[in-house]
Amino acid sequence: MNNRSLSYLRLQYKRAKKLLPGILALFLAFFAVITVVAVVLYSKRDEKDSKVRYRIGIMGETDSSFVEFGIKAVENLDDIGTALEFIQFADEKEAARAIDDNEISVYIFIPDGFIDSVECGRNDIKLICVAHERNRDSIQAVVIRELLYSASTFLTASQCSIFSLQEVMEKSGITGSFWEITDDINLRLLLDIVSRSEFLKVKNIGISGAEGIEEYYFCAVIVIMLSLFSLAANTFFVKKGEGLERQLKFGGVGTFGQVLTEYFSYFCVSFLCLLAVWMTALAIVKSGINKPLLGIFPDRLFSADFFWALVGAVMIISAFQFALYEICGAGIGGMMIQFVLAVFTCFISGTFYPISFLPDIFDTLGTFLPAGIGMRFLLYSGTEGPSGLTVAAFFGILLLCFGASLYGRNKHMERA
Amino acid sequence: MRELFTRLFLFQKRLFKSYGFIALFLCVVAITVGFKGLSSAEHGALKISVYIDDRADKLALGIKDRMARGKSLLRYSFADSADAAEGAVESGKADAAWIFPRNLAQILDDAAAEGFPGEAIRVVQREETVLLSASRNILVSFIYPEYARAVYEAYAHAELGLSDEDFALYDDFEHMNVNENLFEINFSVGGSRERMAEDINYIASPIRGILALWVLLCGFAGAVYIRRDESAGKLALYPLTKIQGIRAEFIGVVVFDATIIMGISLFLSGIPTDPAIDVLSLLLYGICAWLFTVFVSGFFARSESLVVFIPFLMVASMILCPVFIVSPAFLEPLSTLNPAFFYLRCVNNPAFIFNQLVYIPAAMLLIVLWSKIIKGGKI
Repeated sequence: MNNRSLSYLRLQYKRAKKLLPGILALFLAFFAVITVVAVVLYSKRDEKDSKVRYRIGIMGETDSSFVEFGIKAVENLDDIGTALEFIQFADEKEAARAIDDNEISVYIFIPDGFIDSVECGRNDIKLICVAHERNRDSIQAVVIRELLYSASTFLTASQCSIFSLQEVMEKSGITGSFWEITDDINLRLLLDIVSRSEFLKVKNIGISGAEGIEEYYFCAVIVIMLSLFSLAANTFFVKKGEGLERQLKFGGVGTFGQVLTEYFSYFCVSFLCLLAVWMTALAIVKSGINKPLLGIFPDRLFSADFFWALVGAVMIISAFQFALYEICGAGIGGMMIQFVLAVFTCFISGTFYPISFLPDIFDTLGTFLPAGIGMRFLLYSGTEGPSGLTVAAFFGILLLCFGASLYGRNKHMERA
Repeated sequence: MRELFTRLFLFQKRLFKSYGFIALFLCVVAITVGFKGLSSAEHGALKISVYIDDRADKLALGIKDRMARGKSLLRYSFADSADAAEGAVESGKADAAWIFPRNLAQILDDAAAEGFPGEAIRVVQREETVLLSASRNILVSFIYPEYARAVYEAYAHAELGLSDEDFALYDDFEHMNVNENLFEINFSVGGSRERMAEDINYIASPIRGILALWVLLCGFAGAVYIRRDESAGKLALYPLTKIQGIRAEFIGVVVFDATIIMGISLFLSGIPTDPAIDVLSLLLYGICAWLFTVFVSGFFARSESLVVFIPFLMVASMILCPVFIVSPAFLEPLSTLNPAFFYLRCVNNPAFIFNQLVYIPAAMLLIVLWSKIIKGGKI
C-alpha cells in the first residue's frame, strides 16, 4: 500500500470517526430496546409454571363428567410432557379476549350434543378449536393441528375398540355384564392414553444443539442488523459517482487501494458498533443486576471464541454488502436490491427461523451465503465450531466479494 | 393539475430511463417467485431419523408409508440401522431417532394382554423440547390404533372367552365406521370464521410481509434520492414552499411503482388468497406507505441521517409487524403506527381494511400539522 493509499485510509478514518457516534448511539439504543422487550418476555415466562407450555381455554358443554375427567387426566396424569393447562371460560367473548391478550393459545368450544355424539359413535358434532387469525400461518398453528390430530386418533381408535367389543357382545348374546365390560375397556383405554409414554423408551443424549433459543435470537439479530446496515453505508460513500474514484486513481490510489480502504472503514464501523453492544451486554450480565438477562446471554456469548466468530461474521457480511453496494450503487434501485437480497439471504440462512425448520436446500444454500456463514460462525463458536466447508466457503465468498467490488469500482470509473 | 401530472410523468421517466432500474425491479419479482418455488420443498420443524428393524413387519411398514405420505410437523428420513439413526442425532442431522423393535404387532398384542411391554419403541433425542414432546404424541398416534385393536381382541379373548374362529366371524374392527376427525379448527378471533387450510406453509407466508416492508423501503429510498437532488440544486427552480410537496410527489411515484411490482410478485408467486380483498388492501397499503414515508422522512434534516435510520426502522418493522413472528400484545400500540401492520392483518381479516381507511386521514392530518410546525423551513 503506497503513501497515497494510506492518506486515503486516513481520510476514511476521519469520515468514519465523524459518523461513528451517531451510528453507535442508534445501535445501542436499538439493542437496548430489543433487550428490554426480551427481558419483559423472559420475566413473564419465568413467572408462570415452567412446565406449562400451552394454555388452552375450554368452554361450552363442560359440565359433563366425561369432560371433567378428561381434563383432569390430561392435566395431572399425562406423562408425555405435552404440558397442557386448561382454563374454563363462561362465554366466548371472554375466551376470545384471553386469546387476544396471549393468555391462552387457543380455546376449545364443546358444542351441545358433542358428548352424546361421541358416546354413540356418530362423531357428527365436532369440537371447535378457535385460534387467533394472526397465528394462521405460524409454527404454533402446525403444532396445535398435529396435537389435535393425535388426540383425535386416540379418541376414535378407542371408540373403534369399544364399539367393536360391544358389537361382538351383542352378536354373542352377552347382555348381563355388557355395561360393566364396556366401562372396564373404556377406563383401560383412557388410562393407556394418559400413560402412553410407556410405549416409548426415551433417551436424551444431552447434546443441546448448538444453541438455546435466546442465543439463537441474539445471533440472528446481529446477522440481520449487519445485513441491513449496508443500507446506511451510503453515508460513507455518498460522494461516489461524481468522479471521485477517477480522481483518486490519478492521485495514486488504485482500484484495489480504494476498495480495500473503504471496505476497511466500513468493516471497522460495523464491528465497533457490535463490539460496543457486546461489551455493554457483557458488563450488564457480569454485574449481575438483572437475573433474566443471565438467561438471555449465556456465558458462551462472552467467550474469546465468540469474539472471533463475530469478527468473521462482520467480515463476510460486510464484504457481501459492500460488493452489492459497489455493483448496484446508492440510488433507489441499489437500496431496493440490497434490502431484498439481505432479507432473503438472511431467511434462507436460517436467521428468521432456525435452519432445521427449513427445507434441506436452504441449509445447502445457506452454507454458501454470507449471512449463513456468519450465522454458523456465531452459533457454533465455542461448541463444535463451523464445519470445514463453512470455513472454505468463508474464504471463497470473501474473495468473490472483493473481486465483485473491484469489478464494480472499475465499471464506475469507466462511466465517470 | 396538468403541471402536477407532467411532473409525475417526468419523475417516472427519470426513474425508468435507466435499464438497470427496470432490471432491478424484475430481479425482485424473480427473487420472490424463486423463493416461493424453493419454499415448497419438503420441510418441517423437526427431523426424525427412523429405523424399522423388521422389513417384513406389516404394521411397521404401514407406519412407514403413512410417514412418507403425510405432510406434518416432522420430516422423516429412514436409516439403515439403529446405530445410523442414533448417529444422525449425535451428529445433528436429526433431532430425534425412532427405532422400531422387531415384531411390533406382537409386542402390542402382548402389551394389550399383559400390560405395557418391556421392549418398546426407542426414542433417542438430543435434548427435551416442546416440539420433541409433541413429536412423541405423533409417534404414539401411529401405533395407537393397532394397540386399541389389540386391546379389543384381548378383551374378547379374556372377558368373553371368544376364540380366533369367532374373531373371523365377528371381526368388525376394520369395518367400524367411525368418523376420524373430531376437531374443526378455525382462526376466528380477530377475523372471520374460516377453516384452517390443511397445508400451512409457514415458509412462504413471510414473503408478503417482506415485500410490504420493501415498499416502505422504496419510499424511504425515494426520500433520500430527492433530497440528494435538492442538495445538488436540481430543485432550485421551485419555490421553497413547494419543495415539501415535490418531495411527497416523488416518494409517491416510487411507492406507486413498488406497490405495482409487489402486486405482480404476489400474483406470480401464487400467494394471494382473495383477489378482491388483496387488490383493495394493497392499494390502500400503497397510500398508507406513501404517507408514512413522507411523514417519517420529514423528521430528518439531512439525507445522511435518514439513511442511517432506515436499517433500524426496517428491523423494528420486522419485529412489530407480523412478518416472521407475532409480536407480543404489549407492543401492539407501537405496531399500529406502521402501515404494514394493518396490511398484513388484512390478509386474514378483511375488517382491517377499515383500519387502513382510518390510517389515511390520520396520517394526512399529522403531515399537515407537521408541515405547519416547520412552515417554510427546510425539514
